[in-house]
Amino acid sequence: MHQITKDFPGVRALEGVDFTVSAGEIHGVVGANGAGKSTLVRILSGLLPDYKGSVKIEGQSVRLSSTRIAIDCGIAVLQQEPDLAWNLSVCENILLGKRREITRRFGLLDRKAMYRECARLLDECQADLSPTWIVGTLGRGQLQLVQIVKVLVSRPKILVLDEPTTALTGEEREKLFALLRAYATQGTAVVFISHDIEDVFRVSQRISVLRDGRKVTEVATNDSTPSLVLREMFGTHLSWDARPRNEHGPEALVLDGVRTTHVLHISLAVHEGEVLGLAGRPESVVEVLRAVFGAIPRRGGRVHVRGREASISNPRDAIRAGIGLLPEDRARDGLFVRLSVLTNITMMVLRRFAKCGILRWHRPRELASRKVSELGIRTPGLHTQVGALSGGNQQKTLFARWLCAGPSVFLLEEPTAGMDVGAKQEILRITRDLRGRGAALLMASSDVDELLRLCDRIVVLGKNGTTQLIEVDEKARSLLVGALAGQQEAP
Amino acid sequence: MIRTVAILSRYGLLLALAITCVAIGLANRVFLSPSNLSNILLQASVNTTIAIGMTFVIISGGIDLSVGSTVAVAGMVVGLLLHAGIPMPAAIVAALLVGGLCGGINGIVIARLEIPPFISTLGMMSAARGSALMLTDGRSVSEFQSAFVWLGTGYVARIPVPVVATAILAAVAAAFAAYTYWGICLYAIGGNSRAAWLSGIPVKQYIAGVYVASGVLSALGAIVLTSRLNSALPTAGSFYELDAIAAAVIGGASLSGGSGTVMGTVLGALLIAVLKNGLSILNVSSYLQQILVGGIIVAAVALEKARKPN
Repeated sequence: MHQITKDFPGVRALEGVDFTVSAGEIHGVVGANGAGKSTLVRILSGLLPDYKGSVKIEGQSVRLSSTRIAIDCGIAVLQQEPDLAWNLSVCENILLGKRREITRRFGLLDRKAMYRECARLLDECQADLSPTWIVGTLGRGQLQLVQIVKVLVSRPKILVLDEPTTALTGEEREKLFALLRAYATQGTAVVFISHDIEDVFRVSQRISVLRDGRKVTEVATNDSTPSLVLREMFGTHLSWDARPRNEHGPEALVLDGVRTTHVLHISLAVHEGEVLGLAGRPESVVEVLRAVFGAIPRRGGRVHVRGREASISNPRDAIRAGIGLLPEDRARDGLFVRLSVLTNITMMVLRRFAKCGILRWHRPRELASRKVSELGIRTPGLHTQVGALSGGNQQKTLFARWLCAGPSVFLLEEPTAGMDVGAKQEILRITRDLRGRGAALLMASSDVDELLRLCDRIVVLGKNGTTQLIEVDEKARSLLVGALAGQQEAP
Repeated sequence: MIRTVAILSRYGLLLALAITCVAIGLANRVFLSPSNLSNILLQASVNTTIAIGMTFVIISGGIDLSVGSTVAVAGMVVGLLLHAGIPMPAAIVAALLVGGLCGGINGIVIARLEIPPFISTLGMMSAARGSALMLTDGRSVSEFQSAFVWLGTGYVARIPVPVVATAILAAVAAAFAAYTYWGICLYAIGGNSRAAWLSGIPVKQYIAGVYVASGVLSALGAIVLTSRLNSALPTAGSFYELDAIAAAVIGGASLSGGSGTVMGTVLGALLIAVLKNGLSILNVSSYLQQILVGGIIVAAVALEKARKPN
């Protein structure tokens, strides 16, 4: 791949990325959220035909303008989310694309041959699965295995794996790695994309690091260490800017031994007028926020809001206790895309403006237009459907909703994920404003720069339930990167 | 935006309704006579009543297949109670309660047990029909006191009572959808129930409430129907769910939830009534009528889709 560039409206997702994988090589690609990994995968799958730059396979120039062409070029992509037919068996899923091999005369299926073939393939991949199991009943790890076997069946020249290990257990990972190595020795080129440095180091020979859409470096695995690569991933420049030390108010949110599925125990306190960062494995970090908000069950521990214990079993309780959540997946968890900006902003307070149940739109409209100008939401009008706005403005709309509701504690999940630089700046400004006004903010982020620029203190969640507290100052960057690396390297 | 789209599709539908009326009127003068027009409104009133309930269900992202059977069981209840000598207001309230009960069971099964609305209401469709048949062992109940019959056949200022009642209902329901907090919440739930839940909206209660409303409105339709026919039949209301869904969908409601308007549904119900009445006047066989009405429902939605990309 040479000089690959891809623009999305308002965002340059990839800029001049060069990338070479040779046959028989396993090539790792790492990067933080929004670094451009998934864009790269989508270009290779043929899903984004309007990229700039050129792609050569075995010396031949190809234009990956459709998924069909990508497949014909011998590129097989293992997507992050399983795309399997849930109602069919393992065998049927794996052999779905191979009509000729599995049919007899009159288009009838040759079941026996199918099972035999499938059992052979599963055996070859050392997958501990039966061909007859129904895919919908399998666990995440098993699904991943089915996906992998299905992809390998077509004997691809180039195998692209997008975050293949997130759902796998240690043992399953080892099997996958062995399998990849075996295929690589047979001459397959493997592109292994992951945010898990440890896995990438275990399996790949070379590693490319992406940051903000650019390839910052490429290293041979043997000449590098995970912490060096992490430093590249998050940048080494010091962007910590001295900010007025807020005199923290009293504790606004206290987690006391909170337990979730992935996190055994976490205790922390966020003060009024403070931004506390939460870093670590994305799934665990987000889980903590969700559990505090009552969106997923909490397995134990207590939550105190402004000194009072809050019994929270659903989002309604959390809102009553004065907690707000800005979800990472805005379209899925936050916005009503078909409703207007006005309704989206005032949704949570509309009730107050109703008299005998009848809404008076006058004051909500005033409130919404005030928020629109306060937060700089760029919208053609208050009655515009939210779905028509850009990502940054959608996020600001959600902020506006919570600002209307006025919680004293904000939980932010990856508040700037998927936004361009300008929008990021504005979200950062809004967050600082909130802090200045005495709100307590707990922010989960995988963006080191963002954490360092916004937070007063950062809690790093370790893999085995340890937490490390970092005061943000000049030395914070190396501490934070070190802590994240330690968390990645731990067994 | 929602409002502009609603107005646009409302005018589009209004236009379609006007063109249909003019076309049928040109073919046969009888169609446009005041008595026939009043007759069309009368014929549309029961379906409109039920379809308004259906609209709220569809806005919330669900579907209610049990409305036709609810009509039957509520009709039987009011008929039997009147025959038993229960005072008319009590009989009517009882029928409305029975409708609310059917809807309430739907609501609890859907919201608490999280059974998909299609399945739960399909079950209720069968169960309510069975109950209606069981009440009289399949026989109908006829001949009611004149006060009750007036509800379906009387006039207020030369307008049929059911038409007046339906118009008032439509106005209240339209205001509910557009100008109350609860109405906005239903749009929010239908558009993105997860986001609604995370915004602290008690999603389950609202969803259950919508089915109760649908049940009560079906019972209201049943009272009008029973009164008009001067007879309660356990087989009444068959396929009413289809007419109600068609009216809502022609009126711009999307079965994926989050959109739809009461005014649209009223116009949709009127269009269906105009077509049925007009085709009969033009002597089109009732079999062919069904084919035409089916085609027109699909065409109306296709037009709607063409006007609103994605």
